[in-house]
Amino acid sequence: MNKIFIYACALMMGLSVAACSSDSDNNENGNNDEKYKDRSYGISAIDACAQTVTQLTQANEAIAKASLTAEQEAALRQVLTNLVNNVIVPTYTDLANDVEDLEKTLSGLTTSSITQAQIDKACADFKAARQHWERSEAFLGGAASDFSIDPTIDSWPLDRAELLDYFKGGMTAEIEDESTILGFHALEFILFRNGQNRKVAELQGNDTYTNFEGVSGADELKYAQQVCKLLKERCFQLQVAWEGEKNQSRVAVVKAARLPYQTEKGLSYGENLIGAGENSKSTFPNLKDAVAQVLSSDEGSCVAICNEVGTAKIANPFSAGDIAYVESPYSYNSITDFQDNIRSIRNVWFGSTNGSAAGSFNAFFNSVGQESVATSVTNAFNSAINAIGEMPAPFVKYCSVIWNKNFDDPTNWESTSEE
Amino acid sequence: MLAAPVLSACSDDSGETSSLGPLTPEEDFFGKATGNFTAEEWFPGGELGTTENASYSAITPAAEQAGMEADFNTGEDFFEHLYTFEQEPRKGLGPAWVRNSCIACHPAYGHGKRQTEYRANQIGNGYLLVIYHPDTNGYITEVTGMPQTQAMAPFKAPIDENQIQIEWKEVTAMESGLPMQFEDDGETYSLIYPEVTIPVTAFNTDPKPTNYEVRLESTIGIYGTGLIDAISDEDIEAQWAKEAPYVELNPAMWDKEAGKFKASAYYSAPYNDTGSFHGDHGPLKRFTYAMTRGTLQDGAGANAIWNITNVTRSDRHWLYTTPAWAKAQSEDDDVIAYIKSHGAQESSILHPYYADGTNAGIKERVNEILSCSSIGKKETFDKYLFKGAPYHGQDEMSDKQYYQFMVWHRGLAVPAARNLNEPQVQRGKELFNEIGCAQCHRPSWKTGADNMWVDASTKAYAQSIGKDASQMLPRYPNQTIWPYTDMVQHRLFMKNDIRTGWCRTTPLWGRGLSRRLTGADDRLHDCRARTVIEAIMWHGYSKQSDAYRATEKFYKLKKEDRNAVVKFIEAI
Repeated sequence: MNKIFIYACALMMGLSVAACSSDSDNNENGNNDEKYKDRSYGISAIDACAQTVTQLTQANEAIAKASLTAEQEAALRQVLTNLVNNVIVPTYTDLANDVEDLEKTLSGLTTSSITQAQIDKACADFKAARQHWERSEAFLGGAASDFSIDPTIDSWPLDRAELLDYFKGGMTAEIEDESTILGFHALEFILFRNGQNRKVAELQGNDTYTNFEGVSGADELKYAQQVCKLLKERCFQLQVAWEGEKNQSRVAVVKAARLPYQTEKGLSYGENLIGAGENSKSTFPNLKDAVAQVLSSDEGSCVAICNEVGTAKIANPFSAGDIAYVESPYSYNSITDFQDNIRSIRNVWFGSTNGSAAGSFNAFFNSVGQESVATSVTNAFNSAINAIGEMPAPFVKYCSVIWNKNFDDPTNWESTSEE
Repeated sequence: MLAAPVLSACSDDSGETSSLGPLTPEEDFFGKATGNFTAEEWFPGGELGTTENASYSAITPAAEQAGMEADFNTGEDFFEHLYTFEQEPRKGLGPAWVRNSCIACHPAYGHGKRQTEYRANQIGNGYLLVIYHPDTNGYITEVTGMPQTQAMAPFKAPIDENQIQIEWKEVTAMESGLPMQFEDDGETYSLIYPEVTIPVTAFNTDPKPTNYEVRLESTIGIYGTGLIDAISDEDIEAQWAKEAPYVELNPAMWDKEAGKFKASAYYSAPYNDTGSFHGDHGPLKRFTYAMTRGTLQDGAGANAIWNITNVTRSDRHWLYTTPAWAKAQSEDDDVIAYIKSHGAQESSILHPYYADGTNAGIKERVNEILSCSSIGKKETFDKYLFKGAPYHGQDEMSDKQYYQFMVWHRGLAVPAARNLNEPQVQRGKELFNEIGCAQCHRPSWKTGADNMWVDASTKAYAQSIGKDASQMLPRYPNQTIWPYTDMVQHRLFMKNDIRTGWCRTTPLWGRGLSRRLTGADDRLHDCRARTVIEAIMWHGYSKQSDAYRATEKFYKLKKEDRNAVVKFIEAI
């Protein structure tokens, strides 16, 4: 084991520590005020994302412009197979499991017997699910894109005025399709405030949040249960769409919710990706198109999420000074979220969620004598994860100090994450 | 160099090194003349408007060269994400709306997807309801031209979407007599079409409409609209004049006697100076199936970001509503009671409707505000929905945001053509021309100088940062482009045809990527065609169709030639 591997392990450990302590404020992270005034950290993070985009684009071009031998084609098809089986399906399965756990936790809650421990469990379930969602964003192409999952479950900001109308209207409105008050951000509003888990006393009585004082904890829990059920159906949809009809009970849930889960030609999205080819039913007319979708397509690929992190999630507030674009400015979790997005690229590139790289894009480039491509991509995303982590936390404070703008809006609510 | 052993240490792949042999370069046809294609046909959007990515969402080289990436990226955000009532950075939804976002109708930036029910919140439902009087073809006036099925509490949506029925029917025989199996090999095809009904009980208006029919119109892709905008009015007029001797042209646009466009073919709006853009007339209408809007800066998208969401901006200080809806809401006891109990606080978005808090006061105010449906009511709008609480003089969409949105809109590139080197695609091109498809799906245009009209909102933003508004949006002068449309309205006389029957020839560029990029490949104005073949055969449903002869010839082709035409359409 050499130094860099040790460094990589240390880096990963560091990151998991960060994930566990995402609510900690900047002082605990050891940031001093001078660091907040230093633009170089943000610029480095944006540059590192751009560099990752460049390297991934070049990696795709190396494949796109090659006359692949039968062996090379077979190896790439195996890379896609491993990607589906070892990254995409497990990530969506974990996500679905986490949300199912959350649903079970929430369904056991009644205001008469609710305990802080139960709320804490729900919050922990939520955070686990959230991390898996962040780590799925490099492969939004396919099911998530075709079924418009992202806007359906991850719409931001939560439309609090509409939510208030819903409560005031006696919770009788149909909200199944009201994405602006559904999904992760809706659950966050019920489960977290001030970056902290909700307090049991509040859920036993009425909310204390501005304009929500008339809303009871009992109604909020009822709402959260409903939101979580719908979120679960969508997460099951992703799992079933990618792996096919393997988990019968989840297939049944998806069918009962009348959600589509196959391509127009009746394939699972795993089959659709792996089966790319001229005479197949796949939406990809050839293998190279499938590879391009994974690595460098403008939407739903590794390049797409890297671009979004660099040019939108970071740049909109940091470079342009539009603080409102920090999706939940009090979460203090932005930096971990950005890093998890880049980790989803790492997982795609290594074809695993544990750092093993057998049968991966990385291994492919090594096996065709283009070790430099493998190295460049790996270095680029590791640098990006690192550079993002170097920015002073919380991200919203960093942006507001740089721009000398006040982000403290008393009507904003605090959440734990910011997609 | 150090990293490579690291990876080996992390993984099991060390044994595979070099075992697959090196990557050798493939012969590169891209960008070069090949068979019956010229080199420039790989670039349907010209040098300035084509992306080499297989993408509907890429930035054009023109926008990139102008250094507009940052505004393009921010502008994209308004397209991709949902609007809310009052949360930054996307606020102002309502009081009634068609959709809460752009992406809802333009899934993955592409064509709408066929639906079996009408749900405004179903992302991918790209349908607009088209409700009109069949005797005049005029839209009903009780609801907005693009009808809304959503409203914020306590208002009731102008149309209750739960009562809308979409029934898909099977064509049993073509009116033209063309059999539903191909002549050469007997392969069958099937065609379906929607029948849409909305009972009068679904309308929450006063009065309620009578004597109406309903159609659906779907979105098409957005990419390349900047290039379409850059074609000169004169060149489009020349195309109409060229076709005039052979086909009937829309009398609402074309003066048959004079051999030129009528004054009504040029766009003007009561709320801006488009009408004097060319001195005595505005820019030629060219966008939407019905060719109702001209200049992209007041085109379908520029309008939609306001009217689909009812998000107002500095040059649109009025609502997309109707007096008939306003009256019905003002007379609804539930509405009044709700505002009475929830609208007293200045921070409430219902506060503008609260008036003096009496039933009569609320009733009058609701009617007054919700009927602010034209620029003539700007004063009322300004008083209650702009200067008053909770708005306090802040626009729902700022000039800067609108500008960024338009950089994105005008900066969307057309995807490069694909597979032009394949013999089947080349054969398809030959047939496409030979059987007459290219007469209406005109392959190529050269854009003009692209001296565009610029809107007041962009001008206001330009002024605020000390820049010249005419240089702030991407431009596409003198580009040879390949959209495959003649920019003329034709009639196909389909079953349950589009309102008026006149429909602009839809551009074909980039459509071959639809299934891959959006998961669906539904075609024609109401998504009735599920495949390219079905879309083609609908062109021959009636012998009166402008495209009947071409379709008949397609029908008589051998299977391999039919497939070649499809491959060509998927490649361009």
